[in-house]
Amino acid sequence: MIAILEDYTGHAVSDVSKRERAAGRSVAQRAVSIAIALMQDTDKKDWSHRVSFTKDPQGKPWVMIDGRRRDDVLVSISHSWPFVLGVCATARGALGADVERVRQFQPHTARAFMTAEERAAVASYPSTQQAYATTLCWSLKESMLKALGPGLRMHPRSVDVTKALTLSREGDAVLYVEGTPYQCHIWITKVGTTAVACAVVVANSL
Amino acid sequence: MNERWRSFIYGIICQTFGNEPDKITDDMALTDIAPDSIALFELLLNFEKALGRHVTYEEIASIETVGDIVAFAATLPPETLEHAYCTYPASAS
Repeated sequence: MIAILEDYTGHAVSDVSKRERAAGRSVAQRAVSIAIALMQDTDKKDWSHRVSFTKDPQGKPWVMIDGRRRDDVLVSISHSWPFVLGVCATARGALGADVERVRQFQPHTARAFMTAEERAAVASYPSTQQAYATTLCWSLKESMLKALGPGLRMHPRSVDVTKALTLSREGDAVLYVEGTPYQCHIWITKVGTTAVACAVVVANSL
Repeated sequence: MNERWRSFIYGIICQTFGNEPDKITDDMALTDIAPDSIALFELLLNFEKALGRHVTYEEIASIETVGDIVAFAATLPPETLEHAYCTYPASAS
């Protein structure tokens, strides 16, 4: 898995939403180029001009190389001002990634998206890390829903990420969507106390 | 749609995302004006609070723009909107 997380405030496009999309394409293109180069043992510069993206009807991005869709090269892009995240995984399965600014949640918002088990797992974090842990919980759910396709069209409480909340950086865990278990590989990072980013590769349902 | 309802819906959106009402139009994609996915979820919660009922994901599956929210609101019973307008502290005016 290759992940590129950047601050895009200096991106040379004035319109904010266009800047966001341009920054997303840029990090995704670089992540894919590096991943392919590693897979093929070539220079990443050989690939950047051959990589493009398409979206399926649900809005999920797919990698095109030389105009042909590659289902074994997974990509996911996320933005949360001022950060943009592009992740590429060369694997069969599904990939979702998310970056969020760490923030305090209104209690009713946290209760609305978290399961009772997740709230208990977050409560076990030190008080100074509660905002981080709650944001990580959301980010893991968002990543899982992006991987499986529906994104925010499925209620986040239908995803249970309790087992991933104990991971510090990278590892495997079983996550649940509407009670169905999925074997997942998870990557987590944080930008100081400002932001959290994660990516979930869903191998298969169990 | 009744302009009072459109103004009310714009008010909830602006209150949630921190935008100015005169910067919102029906054709704007919610993913373009929401700062992030958490803000989109908070928008859903604010609409549920305003309407006084749970909004199912089936009901919002095709909502992508501000205009889609306005169109969805137009399908609701008038008394639901009236109740929301009278009880929820949001206004675009």
